[in-house]
Amino acid sequence: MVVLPRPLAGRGLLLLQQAPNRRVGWMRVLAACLAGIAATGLFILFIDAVSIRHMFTHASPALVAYMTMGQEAPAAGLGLFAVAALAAGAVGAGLALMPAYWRNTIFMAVLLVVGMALLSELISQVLRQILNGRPDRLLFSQGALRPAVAAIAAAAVFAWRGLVPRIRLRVRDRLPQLEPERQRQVSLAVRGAGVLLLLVLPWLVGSYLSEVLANVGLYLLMALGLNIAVGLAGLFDLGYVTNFAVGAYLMGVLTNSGPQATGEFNFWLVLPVSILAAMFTGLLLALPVIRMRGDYLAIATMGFGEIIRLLALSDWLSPLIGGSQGILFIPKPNIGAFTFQTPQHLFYIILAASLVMLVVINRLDLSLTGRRWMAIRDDETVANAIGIDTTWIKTLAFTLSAASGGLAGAIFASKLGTIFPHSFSLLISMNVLCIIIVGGMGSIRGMVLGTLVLIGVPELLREFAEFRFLLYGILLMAVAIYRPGGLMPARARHYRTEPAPQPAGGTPATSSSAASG
Amino acid sequence: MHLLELRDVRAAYGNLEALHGISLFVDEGEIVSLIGANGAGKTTTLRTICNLMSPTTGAVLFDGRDTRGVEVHELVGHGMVMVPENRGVFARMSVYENLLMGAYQRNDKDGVRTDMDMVTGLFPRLGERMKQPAGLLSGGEQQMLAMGRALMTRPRLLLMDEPSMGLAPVLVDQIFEKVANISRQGTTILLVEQNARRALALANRAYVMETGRLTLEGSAADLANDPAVIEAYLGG
Repeated sequence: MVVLPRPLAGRGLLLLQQAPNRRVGWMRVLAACLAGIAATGLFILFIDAVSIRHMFTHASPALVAYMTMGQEAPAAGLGLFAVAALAAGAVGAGLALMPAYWRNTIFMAVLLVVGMALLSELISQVLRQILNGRPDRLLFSQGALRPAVAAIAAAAVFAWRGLVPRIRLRVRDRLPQLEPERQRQVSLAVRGAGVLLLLVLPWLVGSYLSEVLANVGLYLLMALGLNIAVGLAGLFDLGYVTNFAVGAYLMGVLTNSGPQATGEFNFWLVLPVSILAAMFTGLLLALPVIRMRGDYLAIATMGFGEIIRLLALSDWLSPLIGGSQGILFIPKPNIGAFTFQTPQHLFYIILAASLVMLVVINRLDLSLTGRRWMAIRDDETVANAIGIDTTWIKTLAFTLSAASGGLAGAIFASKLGTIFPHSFSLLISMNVLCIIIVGGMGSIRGMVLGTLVLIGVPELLREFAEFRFLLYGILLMAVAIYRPGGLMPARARHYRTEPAPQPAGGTPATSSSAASG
Repeated sequence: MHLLELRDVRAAYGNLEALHGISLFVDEGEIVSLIGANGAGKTTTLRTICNLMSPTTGAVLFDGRDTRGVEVHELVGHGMVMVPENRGVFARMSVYENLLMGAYQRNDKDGVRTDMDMVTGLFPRLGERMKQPAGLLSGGEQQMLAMGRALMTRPRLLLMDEPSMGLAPVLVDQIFEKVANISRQGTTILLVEQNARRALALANRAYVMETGRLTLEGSAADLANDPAVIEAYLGG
């Protein structure tokens, strides 16, 4: 009963926010309530008259009875329901009239409670992992959130909203006063704590979430790589899966002990080979398309992605790479006698790879080569006309971008133990591109956030897995409309990496006021 | 030997010939103007000179050498650089980084620093705005940045495509003054302009271009007094 009027409250809120003048808000409240009543009434009459069970298996007679509040005649229930709808509309409208601070706080509290309820199973698992006994029973009863817990969670949100700005203010006031040496220590300590948290994370969250984190890490590797081509150099590469596949197949072929066994080499030996092979493929594929621009490049690279999948499926190569049977019995990585068997173990390999790539790409981003990529992204013809060797610089972008994909592929093959051609579909390229666009082109922090949102969240909401691409679509549209630069756009950092030389003309270069952007 | 020479150059966009045999030359130290109406082929001529387009027949000689087959960026290394039409600054990079891109092929750090000082001396506005994204500069400042970026390549020949386009008259004055300054410092300039009056006042020699052909040539002073030029381009 509490759940159903909620959309109505939302509708009241929406109508109110559109009101040009808050003073006439109360009229809108009334309008919202009436609209809610009318819509609900029509809906109840509709499901009473027409059987919609074909379409919605949950629209059972019991639900109809519930909605009409157990009254036999729909009309009587309608009356009762109208009162509830009216009240809900008023609540929603009341929210809109509140100051934004309180409204947002209430929304966050509601979000947290709904989120906890949705993820109840997962939270229980994690708790059982960390604590003995059944700590989850404290939060949930019969799979549902206990009301008291919901109230505490909501209260926590209020407390948090009150405290955080104050703490942030104090830190902001204090930090610049510290000596530079001390500042460095603080930042080192914060980073150390972050790394430490990452190190113990798999054991805190358990096997399932470690698996999710490992997948997030693999996509992060690919996003970081593709970001070189797309985000920095502006080359729309829709065939990134090619590099992923090359890395994975090379790892599979060279290490497996199944029917395609070749040498059963060690993971650590093959890893650099996979990366180099992916780079070489990237170079080869760059050669024919390097003079193409924009959409043409996207289409051509998309073709490569499909070619590699079809090659993997083909009979021609099947003696070597198994065709549609794939490659089986790929061993897990090991160091001496220790084997990285569980998702928790593998998490560390992926974490190490991600950290290395983060550092490498951060350096590239700041380098002169990084700036040349950006120059090409901004205007290729001009870049060429003022003396930049665009062909070479673009080839370099493709080649370096491929390295990270090959690395991700190699780890992927070893992590899964088996690889099949259908794992290397166009969708992977699309997903990685989505991460870059949603996260923020050219922004490394954006890649991390984008991967967590687009890969991590759908993994957690397994029940809604079918709607994953719906989520992608909605997110892409929302980002394009509200945050065209992505969730975390590339920062203006590029504008202040070098000291401005003093002009010879005598006017001193302004240093403090210029760093905007 | 001329610094730049075009010998009967023809160039085409697909089947459509845009240059019907252009022959011109620019000597060391000169300012040469190429004037003409919209669509006369001025920009195409510049693009052909920089090898952004290849001539169908004829030859472009820079410093006595045929440029056929030379990559666009290699020509910059040989001392020829273009300031493109509509400025073409890298909008999301800082002024400093834009200038740095001009020094792409140079390894002499001290020389680059000296030239950076020279450029900021010539354009004090750029010195003040070193850290700002180039996209936030005004039109005149962007034109100056494009010129400064070209100078960072230490060119012998500077090709300028419509530097006055879209600028307020006050700024046009400033830009032409800068062009004169650059010329005095020893750089040869080929200037493509629609603003014929200004171009002729600045240049030593000039060519008049109409629908893909050169129709008149001579000293800038003579052309400025030529009745045909006055009628067609100087609004006389």
